[in-house]
Amino acid sequence: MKTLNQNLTRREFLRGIGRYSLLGLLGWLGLTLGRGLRRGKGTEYVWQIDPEKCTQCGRCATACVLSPSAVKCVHAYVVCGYCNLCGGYHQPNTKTPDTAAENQLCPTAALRRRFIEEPYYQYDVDEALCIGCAKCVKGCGSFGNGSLFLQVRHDRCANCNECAIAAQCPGEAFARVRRSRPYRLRGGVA
Amino acid sequence: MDMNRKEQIRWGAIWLTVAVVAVAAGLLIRARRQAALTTDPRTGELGGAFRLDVSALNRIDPGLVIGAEKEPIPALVESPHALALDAAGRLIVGGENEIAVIETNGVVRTRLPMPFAVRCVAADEDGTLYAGHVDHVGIYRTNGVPAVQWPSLGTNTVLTSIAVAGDNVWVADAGQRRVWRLDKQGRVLSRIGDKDDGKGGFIIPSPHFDLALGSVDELWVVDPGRHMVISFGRDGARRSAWGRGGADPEGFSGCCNPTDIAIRTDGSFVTSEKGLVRVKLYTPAGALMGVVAGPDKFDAEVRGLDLVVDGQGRILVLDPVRVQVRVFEVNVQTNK
Repeated sequence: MKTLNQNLTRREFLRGIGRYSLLGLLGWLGLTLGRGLRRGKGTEYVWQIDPEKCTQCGRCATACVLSPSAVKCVHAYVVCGYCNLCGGYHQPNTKTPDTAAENQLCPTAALRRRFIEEPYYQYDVDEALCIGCAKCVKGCGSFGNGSLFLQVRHDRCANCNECAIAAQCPGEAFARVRRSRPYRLRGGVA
Repeated sequence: MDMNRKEQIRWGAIWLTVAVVAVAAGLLIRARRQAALTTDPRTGELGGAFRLDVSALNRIDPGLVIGAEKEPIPALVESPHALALDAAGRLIVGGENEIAVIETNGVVRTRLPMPFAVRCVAADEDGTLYAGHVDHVGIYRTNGVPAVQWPSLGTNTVLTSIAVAGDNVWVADAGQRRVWRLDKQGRVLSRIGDKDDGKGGFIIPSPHFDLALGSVDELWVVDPGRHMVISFGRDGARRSAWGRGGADPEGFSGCCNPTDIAIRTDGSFVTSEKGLVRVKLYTPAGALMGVVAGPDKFDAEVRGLDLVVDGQGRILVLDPVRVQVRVFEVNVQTNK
């Protein structure tokens, strides 16, 4: 091999560029393939729930191979009314719409509320506590605007080829969606 | 007190039995609580603490039901949103693309194509129709006079109810959470419910915000977030209010109810709710008279039932899911 201070011929220069370009291309292909395999076993599709078909049966909490389930409640803030009395947060017969434990609907206290301005409150889901039982989703849909709904969270979903929840879903709400648009949100955003 | 051996054994057996029963009862209660909090190992389903059963709330005491349903009238228009009566007692039904004028026997009188979706509608004494589109009011006549579109009331406007009397037009705007009083040229005369009115304005969590004209120079406006119906003088001064939240028959359920009201000639109120879908009748003072129609009469996905009361005192309910005007007769007298 010639040293740096020796002159390269045009052919040698072009051959070098071609060689390093090929190496770069192979590296890029390898990285892309590896990332794809790591994410979803090479698939372009992931599992997701159609909120319009979900019947809040509770099986998302029990059927998932992960514990707790990869299905979590998510909140479409643009649809929420920020109500003081919230159908997703409070028990249906709550007399005083406050944060007392006996007035809260969520059995794991995964739904939290904070004061915004009189008389509006913001409701947030603590995903670490949410098990995807859909109790709040049913309450919000029955007595509110339906801004709470279930989604498969892809930061934890194993993306099984045969989704155990989909196999049991009575509303046939589970479907494969493109990985590039992995969520089916209400109100456009969550 | 001395006890012989036989008595000692007998008392010992009694206390032992009591202790065993107490421990067994405690274990049983604990097991039942655990079962309610965790997954049932036999069925694999969640325990009771993770389930919300609203069916009990959907049941209405038959003794409270005062409505009897009659033959419904087809609403005819696509996606019906708005219901009103004209001076001749005909039904005005507004939908996505048109307004239909229908006799109460179901005969169609007129169908007017609409340039915008109709969210609310009212008829003047001369037959002029005032339709609330999303952000403005349109004026339509059935005698061939061209329609007039008033200017928009703002980019955030969502008109949900309209009423006409004398020289005034009142419009409920759920988007800006206020009631507009306009003259018949579309000029704004005054507003009700601004946030700095000292009462905190209206709370409108969802696009259901209704108003109705009372018989005694008053305007009744629903404040759904507070579960109240509030009266204002036609000058905008607040007069009185009634209503409370609650899933019981007397209260208004959920986040924001009632969605719609109508006022009968005796001053009693008809209300409709979403979520727990109910049509109820209240005295002029706001005491429950009875349930006209319970959740069993409607499809669960119904969101908002526009109401009117016809000249015979019948309650007409626009059912957007079945695309019908449902007719209910009530068999009570108002005790003011």
